[in-house]
Amino acid sequence: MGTPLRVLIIEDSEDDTLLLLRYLQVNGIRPAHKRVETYEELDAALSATDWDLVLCDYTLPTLSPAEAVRRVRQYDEHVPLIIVTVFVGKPELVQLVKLGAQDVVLKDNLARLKPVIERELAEAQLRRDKMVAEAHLVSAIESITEGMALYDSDDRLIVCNRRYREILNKCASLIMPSTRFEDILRHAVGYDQLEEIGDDPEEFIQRRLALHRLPGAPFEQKLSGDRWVRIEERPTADGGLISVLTDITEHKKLDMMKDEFMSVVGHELRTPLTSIKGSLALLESGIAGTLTDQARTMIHIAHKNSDWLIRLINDFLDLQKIEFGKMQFEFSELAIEPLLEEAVLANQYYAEEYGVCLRLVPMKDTITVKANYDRLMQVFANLLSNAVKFSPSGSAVSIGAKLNGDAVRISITDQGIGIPESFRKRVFQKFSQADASDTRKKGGSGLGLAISKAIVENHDGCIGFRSTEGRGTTFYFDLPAGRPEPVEIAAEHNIQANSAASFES
Amino acid sequence: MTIPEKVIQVKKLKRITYVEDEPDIRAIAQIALETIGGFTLNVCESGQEAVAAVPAFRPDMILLDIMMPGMDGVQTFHCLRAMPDMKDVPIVFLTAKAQRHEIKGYKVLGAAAVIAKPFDPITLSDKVRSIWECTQSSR
Repeated sequence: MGTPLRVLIIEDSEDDTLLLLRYLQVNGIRPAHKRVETYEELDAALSATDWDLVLCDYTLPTLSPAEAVRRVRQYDEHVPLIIVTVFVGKPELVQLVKLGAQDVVLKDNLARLKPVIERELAEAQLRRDKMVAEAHLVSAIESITEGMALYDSDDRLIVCNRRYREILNKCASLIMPSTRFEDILRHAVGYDQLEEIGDDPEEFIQRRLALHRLPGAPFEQKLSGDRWVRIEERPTADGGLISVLTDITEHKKLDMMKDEFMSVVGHELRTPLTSIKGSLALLESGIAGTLTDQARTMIHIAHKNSDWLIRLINDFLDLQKIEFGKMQFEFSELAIEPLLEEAVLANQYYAEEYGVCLRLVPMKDTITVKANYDRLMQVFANLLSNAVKFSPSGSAVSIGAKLNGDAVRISITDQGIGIPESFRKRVFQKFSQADASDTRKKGGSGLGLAISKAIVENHDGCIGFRSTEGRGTTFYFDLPAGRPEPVEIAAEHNIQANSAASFES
Repeated sequence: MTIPEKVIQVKKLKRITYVEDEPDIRAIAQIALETIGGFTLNVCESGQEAVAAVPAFRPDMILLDIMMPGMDGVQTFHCLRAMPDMKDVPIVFLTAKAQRHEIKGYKVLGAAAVIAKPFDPITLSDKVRSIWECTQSSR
């Protein structure tokens, strides 16, 4: 036999109590009971221990059953409470159930008592388990460092943790179960909890509501007091929504410090270089007096190297910015052919120095891409100058574009030395050159291809190459295409040298 | 009867106020602008000096460094713009803080152009002249 069932019996008659106990025993229930018949006794019994079952008579001279039920519920909201009585009217029954009695069993139909007890014991256990599970859940939600809230399919708050209320501190009074998300949002906007929401608060609210109904990627939101949160929302299976707020203020501050640091480093390095490069350029020009041939050679070397150092610094800062996602890319729909023409013109002068001819492959269609003009030109410049550098004098480098499924593939092909097998894996790595002496010989920073890759990937594109040693290399990159329009086929043409000096700014 | 062709008289750039706190860069730019460019230069070491000097010097154009101790380039810019005779004088920033978004910010401010450091002293004068021509033709 298990542990005895702790039964509290509210009953004035000792005989009836004995009868009840006998009934329980006969039905396999081993009771450890206490009988009470006054409020004092009831309170004492309730505060002395926990009870598994309360049986309460209805016709008591010393206490009202309604008050007895109320007092029991005050101590324990789950214990099964069954009224055992000779008679009870319907209104009284309803009142007792309202107050927290589970059932009423008539004394002349005591056979019903056993199943009622069994049922109610099981249900009380379920209620207790559910409460424990809820307590676990609440404690788990409370202990996470993120703010968390669960909204139902009507967009009303079901539950949230303390952190959620802390983050939205100006709305704390409003954040309670069944409040609509829209009310919290409007309050947050009205009391300047949310910052940088644009000029039209109503438009912001509508946009935010739409996002709340159809959550997408996480986004960042500035809050009052120079704080930032990342908001991540996900739909739940029952049509509700879970919203997680992560405080990213520190992260944002670090980001800003990094930006500032990079800007200062750029400035501090460029300032002395401005003097060095400027002095050397003036000396080399002969403005400060005629130089001997040897001196001019030395000055030329120093000048060339200061240029290289400047390029290195610029490339390095560029790459940092792109990698940290700090470079702002504004995209527009660009026709690719004029772009390629411009790229060829811009790099013609450089190609001529190497005795290399730049050739534009004619295109069948007008192809457009969604891209950032400046950054795309930077990729062209990197790839074209690379191709030129590694091409033999008298050879040609061609650039062309064609549709490749949903993408535009831009290819730059040289007839150069090709990329050695052993180097192919490292081509797009920072500061990589096939031959360590290449950096000096070819005057590159070793960052051009890493930058190009970063830029192309920022355009949702990809970059690659094909190379045969001794035959040449093709670098290509794919960008998402715009809408093509068919045009007449143009003849292949070579762009003539353009010797116009270009500004460097 | 022939109608005489209208002569477009573009004023030539002659007088430039150049503000730079860094003495080495100042020396280089001075050679570049005076010796190569042939401009008449008023060289100032600080924003305050420039604000004090321009009423008497009456420059056609002002070249302004941005990162300077005391009054920086942007403050100097606002000070100069507030002077009645200076409100139409083109101001060009010369700066080593020439990240793309920074350049954009200076243009929004009302700068005629931004020249990035390190600049090439050999072509600096040509560049300044072409900026000047742009500002004149857009009038």
